[in-house]
Amino acid sequence: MKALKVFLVALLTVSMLCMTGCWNYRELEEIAIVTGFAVDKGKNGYPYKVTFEFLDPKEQQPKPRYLITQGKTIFEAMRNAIADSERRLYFPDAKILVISKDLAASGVAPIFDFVLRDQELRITMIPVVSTAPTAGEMLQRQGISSTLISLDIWKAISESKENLSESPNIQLYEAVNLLDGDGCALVLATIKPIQQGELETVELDGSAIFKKDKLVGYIKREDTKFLSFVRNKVQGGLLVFSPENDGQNITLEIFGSKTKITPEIQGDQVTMNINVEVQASLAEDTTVKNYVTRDGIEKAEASAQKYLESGIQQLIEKTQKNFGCDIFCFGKTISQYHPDYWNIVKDKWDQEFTKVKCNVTAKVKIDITGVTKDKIKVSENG
Amino acid sequence: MSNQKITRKQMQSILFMFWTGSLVVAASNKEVKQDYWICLLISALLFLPIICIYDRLIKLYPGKNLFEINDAVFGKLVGHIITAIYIMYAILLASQLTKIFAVFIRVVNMAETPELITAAFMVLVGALVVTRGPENIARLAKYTWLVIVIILFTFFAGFKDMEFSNMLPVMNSDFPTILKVSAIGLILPLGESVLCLTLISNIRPEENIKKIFLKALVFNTIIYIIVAIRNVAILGPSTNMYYFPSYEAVSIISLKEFFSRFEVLIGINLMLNGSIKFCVCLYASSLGLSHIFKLPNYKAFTASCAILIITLMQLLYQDLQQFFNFIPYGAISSVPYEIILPIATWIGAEIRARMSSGTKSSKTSTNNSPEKT
Amino acid sequence: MESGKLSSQIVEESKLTTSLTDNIVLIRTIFKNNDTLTMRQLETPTDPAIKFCLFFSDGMVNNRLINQDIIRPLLEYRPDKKEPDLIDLIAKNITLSDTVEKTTDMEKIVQAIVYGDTVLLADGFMEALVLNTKGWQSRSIEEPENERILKGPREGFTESLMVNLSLLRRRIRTPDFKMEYLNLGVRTKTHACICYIDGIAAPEVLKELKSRLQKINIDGILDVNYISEIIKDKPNSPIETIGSSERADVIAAKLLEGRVALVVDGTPVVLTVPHLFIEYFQSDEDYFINYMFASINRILRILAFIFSISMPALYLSLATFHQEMLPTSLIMSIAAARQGVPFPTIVEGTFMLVIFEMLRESGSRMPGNMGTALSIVGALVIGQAAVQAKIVSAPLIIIVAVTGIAGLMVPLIKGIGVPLRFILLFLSGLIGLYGYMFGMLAFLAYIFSVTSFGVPILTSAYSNDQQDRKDILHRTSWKNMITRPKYLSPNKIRNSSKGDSL
Repeated sequence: MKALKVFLVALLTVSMLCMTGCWNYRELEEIAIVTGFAVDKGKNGYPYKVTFEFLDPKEQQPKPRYLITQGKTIFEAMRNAIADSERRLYFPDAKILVISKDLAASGVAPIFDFVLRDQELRITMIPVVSTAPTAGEMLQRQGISSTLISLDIWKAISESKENLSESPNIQLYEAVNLLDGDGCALVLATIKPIQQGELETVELDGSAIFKKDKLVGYIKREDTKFLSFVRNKVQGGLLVFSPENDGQNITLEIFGSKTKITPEIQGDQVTMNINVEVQASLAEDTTVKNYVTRDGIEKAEASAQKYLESGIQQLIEKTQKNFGCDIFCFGKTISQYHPDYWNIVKDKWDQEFTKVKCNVTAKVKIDITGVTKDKIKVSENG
Repeated sequence: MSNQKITRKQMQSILFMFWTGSLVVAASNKEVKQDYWICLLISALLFLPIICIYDRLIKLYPGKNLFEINDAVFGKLVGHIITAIYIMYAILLASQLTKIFAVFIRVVNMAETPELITAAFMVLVGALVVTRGPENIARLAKYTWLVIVIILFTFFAGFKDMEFSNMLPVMNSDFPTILKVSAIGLILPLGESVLCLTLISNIRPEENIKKIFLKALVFNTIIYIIVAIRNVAILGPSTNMYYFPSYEAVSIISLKEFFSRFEVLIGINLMLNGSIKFCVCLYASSLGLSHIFKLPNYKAFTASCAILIITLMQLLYQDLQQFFNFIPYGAISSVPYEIILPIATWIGAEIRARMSSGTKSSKTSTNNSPEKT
Repeated sequence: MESGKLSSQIVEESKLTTSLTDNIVLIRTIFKNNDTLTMRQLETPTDPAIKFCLFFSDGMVNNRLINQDIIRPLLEYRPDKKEPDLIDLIAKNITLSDTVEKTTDMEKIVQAIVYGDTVLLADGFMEALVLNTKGWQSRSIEEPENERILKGPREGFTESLMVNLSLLRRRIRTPDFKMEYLNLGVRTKTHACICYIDGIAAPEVLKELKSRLQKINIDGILDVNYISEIIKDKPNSPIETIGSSERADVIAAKLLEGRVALVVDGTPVVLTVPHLFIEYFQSDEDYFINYMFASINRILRILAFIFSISMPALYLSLATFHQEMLPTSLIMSIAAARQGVPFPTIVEGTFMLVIFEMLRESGSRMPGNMGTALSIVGALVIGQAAVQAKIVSAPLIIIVAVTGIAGLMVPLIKGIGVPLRFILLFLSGLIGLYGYMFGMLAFLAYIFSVTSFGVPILTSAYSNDQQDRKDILHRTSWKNMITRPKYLSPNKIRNSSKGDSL
């Protein structure tokens, strides 16, 4: 009797397991790993056209393949992809989200909301805006260092903050925070198509500025560097400037930078005191003068400071005049230090932002000059 | 097998894992946002008097579990009614916990697996542990350190992703809101430990209950605060948009591209803690039932309670939004079990103690008086 | 003689008489069809003629002992008269044997003849004398095959109870070392001996062991495993709760820690109770080599056990449920390796594990000259050809190979290791990593609750004493091993001298 009971229970269990199946069981060779996707405005009345770049696991070397689908919503477009491909697309590896400038102009919030809500898409994706007419064509260009262009873009942006600092490294969840939080405007990296010899590829091209969630304009790469300084996100990069303003430049390599912003409120006037401290080394001197001396270094530091201060000041004024959105997160800083004042002005911050005065002080310290302590002298004789 | 007593450290571990069982849902609150850690501190402070109540109850009735104390204080009939209330509470709590776990796995990881399957695993393992004796719960709880290690690891690994400016401004919310959220934090999860009193009869009698609870409370508050800070610092103001902010926060952390995406560890954490909490609830309900029906062995009821729990789990809520919206009301509905009943028991116990010591002291005074004169 | 009764039944019913001829007939009836029984009849050379008869089993006795210690003194005995207490006289004054016992118990007499003693019967007396003349061949003392070590004593037990006991006695010379005999098995009547050190061994365990042994009612005991399965705490559980070893130094060490040993005649394996879980991973070599290296080895063994049960399950759950935990390049290479493989990973995994178990089992039983054939089959056919024919995928072969090797590192734990491997594999095939964790949790819950003669086998789970943990994950130096494991012995202090005298 006991044996019969055990047998029956075992039979029930096994049949239950076999008939119902393993629900989330996915074999590796069945999946197509999507590395990036691009969202465009669709034609023929479809609001969204989505392009996927994915890896075909059949090949030994990863080779990118593309899939273009349309749909009323992004998710529908993604699911429509199954009708076209034999495999189910696998999204947790997707690293890049390219948004076309038209779609960005009409608002990115619905796209971000979908990515955040979806279970498979990771919130560490990097959204970028494409300056080409469509975003999809960006994905179909070729990468230089890896065969997949999405990986190229992703690596470029990730490493930029340490090496170039000319593109904002904003991941999707940070972008959502920027949209959600008060007193900060959204800034995303931008890419543009270029021709590199025979290769058609893309290049980072500064940043795109958003008012609320709509695209309003672009900032050049050099200005993005100043923006990164204000936002305290510079970890590396170069400062190239001409100390005598005569077109001959020296290069400083940045090793560390810290920015402190303190707001000062007097009555209705808000002054932001921006204090930038940079630690650099003198990397290259292409002038006819010699800056690799004690005096030279001091002069270089002074002119670097001036370069930074004027650059940041100009950028702030330009932004205030042309765009009117607080990409420097002054509002957030005010809300953290003067929450009462912030409660008063936060509803009309866009106007108040244009009236903010800035006090920029920069301090550049050059402590080393590479491995040589003197400059090559070209002998006068013979 | 039941000669082994639970040691002090094991009880601490049980309490700690019991409280962190709901860590995954209780890690942040949308009304106070970044000041949640202050609420956690206040909840811990508010819990101290309740610890004293527990301690006093145990001292007055050493070696007895919660149900026996109720019987001794209120008499058999009322005591049994109160026991029945506690049983109901334990089963409710266990089914809520199972639902959280099943929902977590479904929302975050594997959407197609029916909730029944994942819940069945937890219930089966819990039933296995409980039928083998309460000291097994204690032995399993010893593995608390794994949970702590995981949490600390995620905290330090995420250090460079944290922006501590997200924690400012401090005390942004007004005090009444903070108090309200602290009260909720007091009730779930701290107050639920009234069910742990059923296990306390297995502790060695000379242990100091106050110290046990205090140590566990300190640990627990520290871990909760660490988790709250980690979540808010990494995710920023959008923390409360997610159902499970801990999970999203850890998914952002990556060390050097190779060691990334280990957010499944959060699920493992939840599973370990939740299992212990589930075992305690199951044990409490089986023990209560065997107490009412005067059976010597609680093991007879384990299976039935387990099935009851898993059935209830599927009926509890219609959808997840309702579940999350209900949490503050759930707190209010737990107040009778967690606060009113223990306080009533304590008052009753004190009255009884006074009455019995009153007769004793009158005897000793008559003995003393001849010496005085 | 014509009765259809069995000899054992005759033994139960009969008794010795004073008539020598009747006794002779009785014994010969009992040993009917037993041609090894040898009879030697003697008479004293003088008058009155006192008749004696010796019975012994040929081949079990040392003939020289019989000749010199029994026959000669008897033949040199020249009494003047017939003594009324002749038997006592022989026992005390005449025979040269070292062990003499006077008895009327037929059972004992028959046992004695069977076991190699000589039984002396005298005419006119009801009692018989049992004289020790044992001398059979037994295996010489050598190192046991499956418990080899690099450095240390190499004495292993043999099949003779006396030799084994002598090995233990030589190592533990305190008079507190007690050895109590008992007989087990209805037909085999195997000699066994319970050994323990009085004052260190836990009295409850001893009592429990004795009472369980009393309850054994089985035909024959050929090996200790028969006993251990009957007296185990949970006979249906695959976990060993009774330890065993073939090495003398191991048993001596365990006795010194407070365990009780059971030595059984006819097998070199000696049982010890209680048996803790950690003993699977301890090897006595750990104590003969440097403690740091020993600790590394011990940790390796524990890790190997964990790997051997987890690796297939983890690989399965990572590759089929939680692909996001793998780095992208790894996903690509596994996917590329799995192209064209028809079976799902879980089927592959089960299949390869079963094949590996077959290989292992056949490898342990085959004669030496088949070795090359087996390795060729194993390596080439299964490894190479199966992968190329796309029946299994290369990553899985690696996983199974590592699992197998890790599993062989702790041979004793195969009993639970192998089934657990499969169970965890199925569970993780159901809901991924959560299934694996639940399986491990259930396994932990299970072994926490197993007791060995009242002592929980996973004591490290809840002893917080520093001293109790000193021999579990690592072996601390002898200086620090001051106490015995708390749950084994009430007598805690291991050495009365302070550690710093070392």
